[in-house]
Amino acid sequence: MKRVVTILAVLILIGLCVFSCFLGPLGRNVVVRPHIQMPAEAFPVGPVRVPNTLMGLLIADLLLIGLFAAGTRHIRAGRPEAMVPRGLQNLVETIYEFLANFLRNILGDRAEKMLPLLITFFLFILVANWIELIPGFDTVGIIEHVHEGVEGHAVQKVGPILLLSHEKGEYMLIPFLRAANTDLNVPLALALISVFMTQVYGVQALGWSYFYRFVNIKALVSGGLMGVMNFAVGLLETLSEFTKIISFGFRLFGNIFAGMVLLLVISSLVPFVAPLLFYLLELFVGAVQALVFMMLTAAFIAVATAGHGEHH
Amino acid sequence: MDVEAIKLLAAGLAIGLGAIGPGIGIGLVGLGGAQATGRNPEAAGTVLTNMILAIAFAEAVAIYALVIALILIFVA
Repeated sequence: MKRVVTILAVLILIGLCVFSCFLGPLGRNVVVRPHIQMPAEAFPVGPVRVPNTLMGLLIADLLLIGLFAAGTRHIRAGRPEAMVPRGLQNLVETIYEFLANFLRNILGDRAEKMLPLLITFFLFILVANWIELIPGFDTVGIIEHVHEGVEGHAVQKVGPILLLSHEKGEYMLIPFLRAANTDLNVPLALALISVFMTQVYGVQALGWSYFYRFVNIKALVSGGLMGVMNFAVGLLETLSEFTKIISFGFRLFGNIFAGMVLLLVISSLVPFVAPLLFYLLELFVGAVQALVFMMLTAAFIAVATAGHGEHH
Repeated sequence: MDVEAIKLLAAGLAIGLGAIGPGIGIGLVGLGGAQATGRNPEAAGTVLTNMILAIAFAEAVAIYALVIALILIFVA
């Protein structure tokens, strides 16, 4: 009996897939091509226009702050219940402990001071990436007269809702919500914070001698040919601080933006079943990017705070 | 071909060719990581950390190609 239900379900799913490919919107050539643009769309609220990535950012912030405020309320109030964690507090403590132990492995006993920054990086990027997968992101918004240089669509009215149709027209969709990291400004800001804080921790750990890493005058004066080499390596090190900003920023932006485009295109081509696989992929990519951002920052901080003595 | 078509072609070529090297590189890093973990399973944590670091450096090259492609499509 159970097997029959499973087979039936699979058949129905395949049927829907085939239907959507051949008889549905795609087969009849009535697909609404998704409109893809790199800067955030801005929808009007009264006199001002609000970028939709800002809304995604605020929602991610509120979710995180809400979760952690609710999870730690007993601890912050100093109640005795905090000693025996229940419910949300368990979840929050598990997340924190897992990440903290992971980072302590990389950074050793220097970790404690940097934990808040690194864990915030991870959790913020994770939540900001994953809320993209909530239905309604990128697809629900207001319909506006088309901007210059953009292909428009005609609209049709279904009950109280306006829908874009495949025919050419002069309307376009401005979504209310879009993931924060699909706006280059957010990943670049995170990258700048990450690189700047690496310098701060480096100076805190090694004092002003930290900057010998970049301008190695000591080696130039005393080292002969190898000293000149070491000086040149220092200059390269300076350059790599700037390329770090670019690669941090564009890695996160590129992955999440490509994910958004992928989901939009696949959902418009094969509306049933097929997007599921890509949602799974995006779940994975979002988590990996958050992990990579945190781990790379941790590794760079570990390099920056290691003294000369510790290398040998 | 008009300018727009050449721009699109150039963007496609930029990211397509630019992804070959990093693809091979990341594959080699994964090979090394899997072999290392297989030989010494206790070191899996350290291997993972170093593997992700190396992957990030290889991937950075693909990111520069992506930047070029995005500039070609959206800015130039």
